[in-house]
Amino acid sequence: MSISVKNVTKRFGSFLALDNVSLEVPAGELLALLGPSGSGKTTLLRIVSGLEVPDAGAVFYQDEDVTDAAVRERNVGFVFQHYALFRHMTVFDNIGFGLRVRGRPKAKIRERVRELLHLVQLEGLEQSLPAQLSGGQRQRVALARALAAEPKVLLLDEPFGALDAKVRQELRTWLRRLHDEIHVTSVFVTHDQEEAFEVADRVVIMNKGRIEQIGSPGEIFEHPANPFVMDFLGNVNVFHGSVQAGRAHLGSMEVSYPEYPHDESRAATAFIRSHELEILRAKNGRPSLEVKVTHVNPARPVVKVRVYSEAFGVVLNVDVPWDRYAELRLQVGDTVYVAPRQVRLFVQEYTI
Amino acid sequence: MPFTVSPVVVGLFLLLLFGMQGIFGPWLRAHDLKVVFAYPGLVLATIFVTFPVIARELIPLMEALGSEEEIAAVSLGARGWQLFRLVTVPNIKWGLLYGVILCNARAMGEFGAVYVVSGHIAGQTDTMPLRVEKLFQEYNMPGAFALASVLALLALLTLLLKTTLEWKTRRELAENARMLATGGEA
Repeated sequence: MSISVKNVTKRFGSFLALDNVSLEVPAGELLALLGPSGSGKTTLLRIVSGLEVPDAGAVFYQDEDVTDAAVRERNVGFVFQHYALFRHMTVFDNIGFGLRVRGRPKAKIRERVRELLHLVQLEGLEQSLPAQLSGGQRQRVALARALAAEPKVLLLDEPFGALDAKVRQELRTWLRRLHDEIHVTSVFVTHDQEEAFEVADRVVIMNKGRIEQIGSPGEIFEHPANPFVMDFLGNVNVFHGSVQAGRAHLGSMEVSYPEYPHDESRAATAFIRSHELEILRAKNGRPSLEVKVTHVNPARPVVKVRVYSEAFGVVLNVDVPWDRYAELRLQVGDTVYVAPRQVRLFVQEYTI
Repeated sequence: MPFTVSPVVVGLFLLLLFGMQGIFGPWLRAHDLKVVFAYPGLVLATIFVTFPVIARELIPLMEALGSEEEIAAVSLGARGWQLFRLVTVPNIKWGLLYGVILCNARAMGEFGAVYVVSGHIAGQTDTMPLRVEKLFQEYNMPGAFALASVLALLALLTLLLKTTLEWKTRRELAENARMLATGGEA
């Protein structure tokens, strides 16, 4: 069942939570809504589910307009950040709830709950109460409960937000596998980009009630649409400079930028990811900056080096592969040169 | 608000609303309905004075529980009454029962409000405290004391039930708090 959201706007008082947002989710896709808090991602999810009603715009499941349909009529599975399990019911009753309120026969319910317990790997815990389960188990019960009535779409609101790092990692992998098994159209909200990129088929990056970019994890990482996305993805060094006649000037560095051939000089922001910077012992003719090493952190798969450029007045983060690090023999206080392998430039819109 | 209003004022207020000369008086008379000086009047007066007791018991409990489970139930397709019966009531049952017992105690002891609206029709619009007063006024000491003893006994029974339930609700609240606190753990 595909989902389409058309020109949806939602306000809470004077706060514009969603600003004319449109989104297509093809059937069977696992989509992540990613953004900082207050970006409108949860509001969008709640509007898709019917828990929230948009001020303007429409929501379609396949070709059916469900904008005004109640949650109950939409048959969605919703997983909440804090599980929202029924605390006085056993795991069995929790999972069977959706079937029970639909008046399914007892034998059918029992059979389906068995099936789901197997799916979420919680066999043997059917008589436990939520309070007796761990966080990861509770979230799996919540997922089984959401799936019980065979929903057309599965919606997850920061499903792993309340779990610790290790369990989160396990559940992430598990969710991806589960989705590959059952193929229900799913949308999940997260503020953790690693989670979004690892689990989802496509990622929607949101900011201030608008969609900044939609694409596969690879597309977004390789071709960030704008400075916000670039900055949000993190691990990046930001330079402020200018562009003119096909050249970008970033302090003492000059790189070619043929996309801007005009004679008029304009302010531009350059983003260089920390792994796209190379440390050199001596200048080699490529555009580079003279910097001083201020900090070395070798406790990672790559060595994290922090350097300071006096001319520019900025601190840069550089990732150095281990073999290169051994070659360079970097010490704090050394004067070295950093050269960018790749620069992403965003020319500012003309403003007076 | 009803907590701070004197029961006699409540009685008077009901009299002004539903009495013969009251706002709804003519309409009630036209439909041959009796509220004041009849059974419905006693019930209304008692509800008015006991209502805050149960509200004060349930509001903090429900606030502590939050609406997450209700929202989840709605997302799973529950209708209004299913939601109430299967999710809300089981979560507040001890608090509700505790409230009912307090209400009962308050109703048993209520004098002022029912005194005003009852009209003292013996055997028809009587409550136990009203009857005790009447017996006492008629110098029927044995009768008054006997009934008063029954009331006192009921009070003791209520106290016992209340204490048991208090202990139960406190345990339940503690459990809720614990569940919320451990929600983030694996």
